[in-house]
Amino acid sequence: MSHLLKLNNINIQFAENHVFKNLNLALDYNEILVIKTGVLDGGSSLLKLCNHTLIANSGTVLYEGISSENLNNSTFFQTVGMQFESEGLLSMYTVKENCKLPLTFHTQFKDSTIENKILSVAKEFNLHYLLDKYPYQLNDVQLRLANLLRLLSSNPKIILLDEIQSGMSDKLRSGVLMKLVRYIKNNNLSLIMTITAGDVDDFSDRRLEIKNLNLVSY
Amino acid sequence: MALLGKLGHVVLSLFNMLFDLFGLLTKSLIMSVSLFSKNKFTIFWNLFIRQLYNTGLKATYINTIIAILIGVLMMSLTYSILGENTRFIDYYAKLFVLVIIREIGPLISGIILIARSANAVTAEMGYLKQHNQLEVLNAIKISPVFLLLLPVFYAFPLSLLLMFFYFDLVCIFSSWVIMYLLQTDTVSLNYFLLTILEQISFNEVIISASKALIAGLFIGLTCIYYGASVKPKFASISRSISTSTTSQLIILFTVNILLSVVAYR
Repeated sequence: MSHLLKLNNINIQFAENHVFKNLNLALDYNEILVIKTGVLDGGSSLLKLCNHTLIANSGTVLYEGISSENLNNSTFFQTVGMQFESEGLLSMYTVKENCKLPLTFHTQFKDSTIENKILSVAKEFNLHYLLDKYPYQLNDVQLRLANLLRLLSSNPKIILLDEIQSGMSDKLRSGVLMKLVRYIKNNNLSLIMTITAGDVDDFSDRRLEIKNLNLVSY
Repeated sequence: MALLGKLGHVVLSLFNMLFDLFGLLTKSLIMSVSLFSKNKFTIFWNLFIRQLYNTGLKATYINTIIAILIGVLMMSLTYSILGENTRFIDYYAKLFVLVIIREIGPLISGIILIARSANAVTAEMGYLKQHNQLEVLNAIKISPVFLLLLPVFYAFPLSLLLMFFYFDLVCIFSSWVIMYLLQTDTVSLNYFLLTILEQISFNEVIISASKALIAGLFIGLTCIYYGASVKPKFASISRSISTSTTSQLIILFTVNILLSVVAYR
């Protein structure tokens, strides 16, 4: 059986600066994978690669055995989604409108159905207080949570979270992670989360870190 | 030699910009097919209405003031030359169509569109670019052409057309008010309006509409093009606005004069 996501011999470089060399990674169905990153070592680039917003210089990315080149935008939307470490929302819309936008664009759901989906996720994660706010009214932690809300409302098979724990208090972090893991298990999703020093990783099935332009277990 | 090099660079940049604008035009037309999807059309419609409101309706205030001033100027100047001539209204109607409806109206409305709205759109687009929001669209698999370009692509020509129409109407009314104050024989507004309308041929309507649609379309494309060219550097947005305004003014005058020369020779 094919993996949910597979990266084969990926090379990424910006000008003379190599980020990954011959990187291989496989993500299974219902797997939670944590990737420990340092400063500017390619954590965000790796997630963008998985989300097909960054194209590798060489190598292939397969989703359920199908090459990224053979997938259209709507299929991508149903397969993979990403939370941005900073910003990540459109400033012309409120958080709720930001959440509604991709669902309205990529599906044929009625407005009320889309709204109910968003409200149900917001309720589960206690994020309803963010819904009517504009991005400029949010701090960095709230922005990441609003990103998470949009991502979970869209319900893709692969969830990519970029340093979502950053800046959170211990109480908030444990609450969000507990709800997140429960949500992922209940909805049969897979997760790749980048973490940094001080972040929690004990909820994961597998832990990797970026070392020498590649991924290794730790 | 250096001068020749610079001249060559300017000409090349101009051609590059024109090719890019035609590329954006083609992309917009292709992307318009997606508007047949009900949900996508809803997203587009909300943005289109917002753009039309900001571009067309909110410009009413400045459009009214300038149209009143031009109408007053036009009537005062004509009256100072023709005085209490028995065929004053006929002469004025011919002059009004020749000067205001054919040339000044489209040009002034276009300049208002550029100054009020196109610059704002370039700045908005530049802000989105500098804050990586085009990357966000890429991440949620929505084309920036659909979300950011299409509303402008359709709203700008329509706004300019409405602005032409409104400008001409206010100009006619303000001219009539001045004439009413200056002349001893009173002429009804209805008669004044009909005399001017009689001078407007179908050809004139088509040419004026073409000026609005073509100039509005390319002004819209240009502000998106320069807004999207913003770099993550200080003053890049203001530089883009400046270059964009220059290009839009050149496009506006070229389209207006070219169409006038071709149609009214």
